[in-house]
Amino acid sequence: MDCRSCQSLLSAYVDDQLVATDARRLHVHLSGCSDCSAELNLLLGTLQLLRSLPRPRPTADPWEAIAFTLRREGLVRPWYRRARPLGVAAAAAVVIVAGSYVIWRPTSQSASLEAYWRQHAIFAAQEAPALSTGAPSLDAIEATYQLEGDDR
Amino acid sequence: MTAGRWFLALSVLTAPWSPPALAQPTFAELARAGQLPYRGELVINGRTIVRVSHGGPGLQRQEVLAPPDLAGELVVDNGQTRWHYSPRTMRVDLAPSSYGLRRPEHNQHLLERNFHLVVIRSEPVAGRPATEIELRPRYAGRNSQRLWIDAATGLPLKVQRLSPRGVVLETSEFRHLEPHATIGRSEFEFALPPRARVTSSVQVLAMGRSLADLHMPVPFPIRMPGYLPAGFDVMDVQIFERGGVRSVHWRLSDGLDMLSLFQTAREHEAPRPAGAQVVTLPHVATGFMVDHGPERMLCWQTGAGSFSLVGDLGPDELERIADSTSP
Repeated sequence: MDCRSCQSLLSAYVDDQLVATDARRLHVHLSGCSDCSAELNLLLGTLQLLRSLPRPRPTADPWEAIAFTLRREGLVRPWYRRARPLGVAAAAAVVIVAGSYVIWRPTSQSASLEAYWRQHAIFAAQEAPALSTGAPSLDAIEATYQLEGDDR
Repeated sequence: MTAGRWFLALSVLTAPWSPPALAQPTFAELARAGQLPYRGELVINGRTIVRVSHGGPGLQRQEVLAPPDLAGELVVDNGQTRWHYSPRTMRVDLAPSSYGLRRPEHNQHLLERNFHLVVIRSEPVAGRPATEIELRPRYAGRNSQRLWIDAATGLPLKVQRLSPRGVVLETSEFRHLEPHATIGRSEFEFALPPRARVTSSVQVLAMGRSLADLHMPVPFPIRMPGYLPAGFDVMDVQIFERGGVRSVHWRLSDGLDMLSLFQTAREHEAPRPAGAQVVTLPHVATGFMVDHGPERMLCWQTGAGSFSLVGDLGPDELERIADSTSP
């Protein structure tokens, strides 16, 4: 296999799309070709970079952010400036009822898949130290960011 | 020079050359080398550069130097506590180290039972003579690992993880290594940076090698699968809590690959993320599968609780394990 054929197969290779015979031919070439090995490392590095990019999350309350901007620009007035006395009383009643519900509602938490990914990644990084180079788990670092995002 | 000496010299020069015999490392030697102190710089997948210090059993320090978006991430483990400092969030995540639960002899037994150690060739790494070896799985469908073992110390200078089809999943390689480095104990004690906050994303409540070691009740019946893939053993078990949800974490290994089985109460079922694939499990109704690089997570429910299984085995194996948790 020459460099051109090798490099044309690298993308399929990292996607695990090559049949075993092609993968073996590729290995033979890669073991003797520093250029193609460097190309493979670059590709793996790029994939790692893509995996490490933060996943976009909407703000906790997108409407609140939009409303804040509208108020700041003077396009709308805050509800408490528009409210009349009867409206204020009604709003206060709603707040009391809703607050009571928040305090007394039954809990229904769910398991965090991000926490599971992270705990698994830490476990995988800590085991078999004799057979590793002591590399930290980048997956664990990324998963910790995901959890911290949840906490904010 | 006499004719006899000429003949001797010529016969030496013309004798067929044979390469020096390759060292044949053993699993026991690899395990012993893993106890050596060293300091060095690692390159992971050609992009991430990490400074690592290993001070002997249980003492680890790893600091990411590049790329810029990860630089400064620091993990310190002194065998009792694990700190992870993130300069971007100014947070220190604190957790108990699981070093005390490790059983190197058990791990060596798993490796000998589940993998063939094959010597490939001599090839230097980072300017040091090394022997390339491969750990080939005895069971089909498992990952393998290539290691370049330092001839002088037995330390792995380069490690590649390969999928069952031979695709390189990850490469880490020393670009500089200082074996037998003298590293002070203070390097493995974490000094809190100014203004950093200490948090615990997950509260580990108990850990042990078996449930009997934990002495910690959980509000649901703990259920282990009736089927485990060939070669896998339970390494240890933890109970942890996050956001008021208590989970049991079984940690399994075949010596190289790890599987995690999480169980929590039925009412704490994990929400199905967008893009998750629904799978049908004959004895457990339905579940869903989420891919994450080479690894995947399968989540399902039985009468005993909500389960999640993480690992890089094939989907069929994960589904078979899940199905064997039916009452």
